[in-house]
Amino acid sequence: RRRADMFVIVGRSEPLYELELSGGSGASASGNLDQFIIHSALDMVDTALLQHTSLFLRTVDSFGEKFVSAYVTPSHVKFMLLHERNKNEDTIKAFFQEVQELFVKITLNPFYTYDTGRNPAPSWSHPHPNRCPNLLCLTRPVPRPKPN
Amino acid sequence: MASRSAQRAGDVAWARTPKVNGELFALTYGAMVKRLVEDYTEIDEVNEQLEKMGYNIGIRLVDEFLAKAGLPPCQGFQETAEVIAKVAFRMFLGVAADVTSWNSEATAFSLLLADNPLAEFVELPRQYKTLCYSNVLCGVVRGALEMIQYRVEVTFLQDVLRGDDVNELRVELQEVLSEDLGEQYKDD
Repeated sequence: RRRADMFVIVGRSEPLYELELSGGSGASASGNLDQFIIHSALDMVDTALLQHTSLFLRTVDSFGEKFVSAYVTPSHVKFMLLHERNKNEDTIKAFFQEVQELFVKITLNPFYTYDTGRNPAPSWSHPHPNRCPNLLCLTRPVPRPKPN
Repeated sequence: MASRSAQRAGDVAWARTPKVNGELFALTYGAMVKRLVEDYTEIDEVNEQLEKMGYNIGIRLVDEFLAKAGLPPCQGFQETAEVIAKVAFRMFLGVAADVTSWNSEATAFSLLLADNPLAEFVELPRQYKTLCYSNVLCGVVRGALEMIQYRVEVTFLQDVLRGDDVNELRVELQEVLSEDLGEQYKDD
């Protein structure tokens, strides 16, 4: 059952990683809408940052039936998840924390140019099931290859 | 067994040396390799530079090692190999290596490193497949052995970063150098 639509990691100036989780029908109109919703929620993230003291910002914005949850790392990299109504925020929080651990590991790779979407290491282009178990529990991911 | 006493000597030497944060060490080395890769266009040149850096480290490191480890002189090349793997690697890198694959004349052996602290967070991008990321270790072994009169060639046979199971350094003895005082001291 699909409960999450899209996951984006946003750096200071550009998105670092995008993952579409919609089930295969791939209607391009709705695909762009998901991206639009997340990008327009970025301002709300900045507002929420001023109010919260924790890294997990919960739901920062909503658009119809879709909600955007955000988590900001101490270095101001934003993880944003577009999803349907989800009463259990702890799963989302746990997912963000796992992503943060993976993100830190990738940042420590000397060949990753910091704060860009260009990660030349092969393992980041596809969500590997062993590395993203929480992602699997949210939905079955359909990976979209990220252009280098 | 000689190897077990070498292992104990290694543990003692490791306990006595001042420690540095492993992550800082790995990140510093990574930044240096990244810089080299950006400066030199050919990956082979980067490998060569790393080896030369290692050589410069090795020729100085061996004196520090012999002073700190306090071991008796080795009886032969085989004992030297054991000491390098169990004591020196343990003392400076924190992980002991294994000595294997001796050839029939006992002039070449392999050092097996299960985990390599230099390459802790590293994933090699596809275009740097031929990069020997930890080639500095080859240079260190070559430099150190040259100071104790063994001229060797050290190469990376297997590398975990390139998909193999272990890191394997092949050490091959080329020549045993003789102590030479130089021309002006020769008796005529």
